[in-house]
Amino acid sequence: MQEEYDALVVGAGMSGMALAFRLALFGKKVALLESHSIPGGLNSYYSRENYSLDVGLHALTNFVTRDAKKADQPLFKMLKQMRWRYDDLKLIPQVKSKIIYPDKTLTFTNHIEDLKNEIKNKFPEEYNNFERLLKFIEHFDELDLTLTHQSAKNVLQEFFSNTQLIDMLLCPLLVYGSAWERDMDLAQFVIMFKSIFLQGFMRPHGGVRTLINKLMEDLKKVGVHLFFKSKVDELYKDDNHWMIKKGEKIFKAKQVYSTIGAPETFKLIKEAKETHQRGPLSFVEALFVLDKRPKEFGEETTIAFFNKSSKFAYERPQTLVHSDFAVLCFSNNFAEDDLEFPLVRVTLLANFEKWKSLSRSDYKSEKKKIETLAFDLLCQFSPGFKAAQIKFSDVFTPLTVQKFTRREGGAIYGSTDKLRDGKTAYKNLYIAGTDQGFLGVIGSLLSGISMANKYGLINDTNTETRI
Amino acid sequence: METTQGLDVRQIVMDIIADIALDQDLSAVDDNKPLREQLELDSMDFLDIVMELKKRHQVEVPQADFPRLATLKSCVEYLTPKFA
Repeated sequence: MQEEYDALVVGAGMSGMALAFRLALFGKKVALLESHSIPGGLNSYYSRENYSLDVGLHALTNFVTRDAKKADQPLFKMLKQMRWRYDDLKLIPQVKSKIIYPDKTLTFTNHIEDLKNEIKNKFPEEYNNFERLLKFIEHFDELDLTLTHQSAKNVLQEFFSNTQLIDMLLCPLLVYGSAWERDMDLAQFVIMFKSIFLQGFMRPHGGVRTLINKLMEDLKKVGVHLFFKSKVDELYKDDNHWMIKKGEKIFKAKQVYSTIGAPETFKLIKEAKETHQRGPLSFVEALFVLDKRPKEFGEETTIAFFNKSSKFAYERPQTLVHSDFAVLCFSNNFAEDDLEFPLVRVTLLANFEKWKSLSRSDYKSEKKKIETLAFDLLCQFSPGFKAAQIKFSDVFTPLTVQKFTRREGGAIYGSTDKLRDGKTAYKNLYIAGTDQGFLGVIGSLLSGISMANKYGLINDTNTETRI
Repeated sequence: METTQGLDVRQIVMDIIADIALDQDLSAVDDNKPLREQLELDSMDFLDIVMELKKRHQVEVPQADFPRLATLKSCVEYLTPKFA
């Protein structure tokens, strides 16, 4: 059975959904194929024991208030391109977040002045340099798709002499988006710096479901053909068309946009001209439903980057997990607590191969150990948790991530080779999403939007633009 | 296509902008001032205006003519003959 479309979009994550929406909004016949039974990709959800739980999402970045100046704000760009109102996502800003090192803590909020004051107090000799960095970032055009790779760390060393400050500033940016170990690309650093430190953290009221439901509603409205549980078997070219084979079914189109990752995409092509390195980094996450909300015992932090050793190493651990660094996310601690129950997530860097090599029984017992380790880290950060009872808990390993997202090696930030302009060695095969290099949920939506505009829509108007 | 007066072309453009920038208050738009500044529109938004003109009214705006969409007044001047 064969059906022809204008475009095929592989992967119903954030970028795939936005991409399919934009193409269909302007009259294209689009099929969106997703291997999983529900949409969301790296940011999805599940229910267990009557608890509705988000996976992946700690917080959205790019928060700005409704009255903020709109030009150049990714959030507003995304909203307009998706034809959404600011209120559609019912965004709730964070309270405050912390970067914790053994001897120093930097607290930041959605107001850059708070971080400036922290640096003035804790790294007074670097304060002027920080101001210089802010100017540099303000004038940097991180959306220029022609930029080539440059090390963010090298650039930061030109601004600061204190390496700990460099590490502390890089920490949340690496953790929330870097596919590279220890360092990140300068353009990605600027994107992340703006989205986290200059804009800020937020969550949609109701979590990721609010966002996904809105996307699904809109996809249906513009007539995108949705196919769930539809893992692509093979991608091949036939004359001027791309063909996607899925069991007995063949989908045919001039263009294919793949959001499932570059290495994962090229693996679908027999004797591919191009291969891509899969990312080295994966994570384990323990989540705990508790009987007390954190603020009941005075814990108001939204997200803590909790580092127990003096050197933070954002790298693949040699053991199952990195046990002296954790990201603690207190989902109840946004400006409004919209959750029905107290929920805390503890995320640790993990080694996919080590997890994969475990026997079934060892895998189970190691998962149990992670739960103990994660809760222990939580209590070290905030001793009040010692009095809390765990009502429900779950642990995701890199294998869980790989199983549900199909990212090879559970590498949630994708390949270390980003395709900034979305082009591949093949005509009419484009990469969007994580491996195109825009980061975070808002970034992924914008990635889908900009790839749809650039390769699917602009030709129709004989013009060129960039986001 | 039926004859469209200047006022109607203005309304056509306003309707499109209202569907793109849903949070913008359009009641105080000055026809002589650039839309970009008044309504904080960017190049992606102008592309959408052009694509909506094509989708809704089969009116084509080549890239070279984009600057002619700068203000509401210039939109009306430029687009009215295309609707005739």
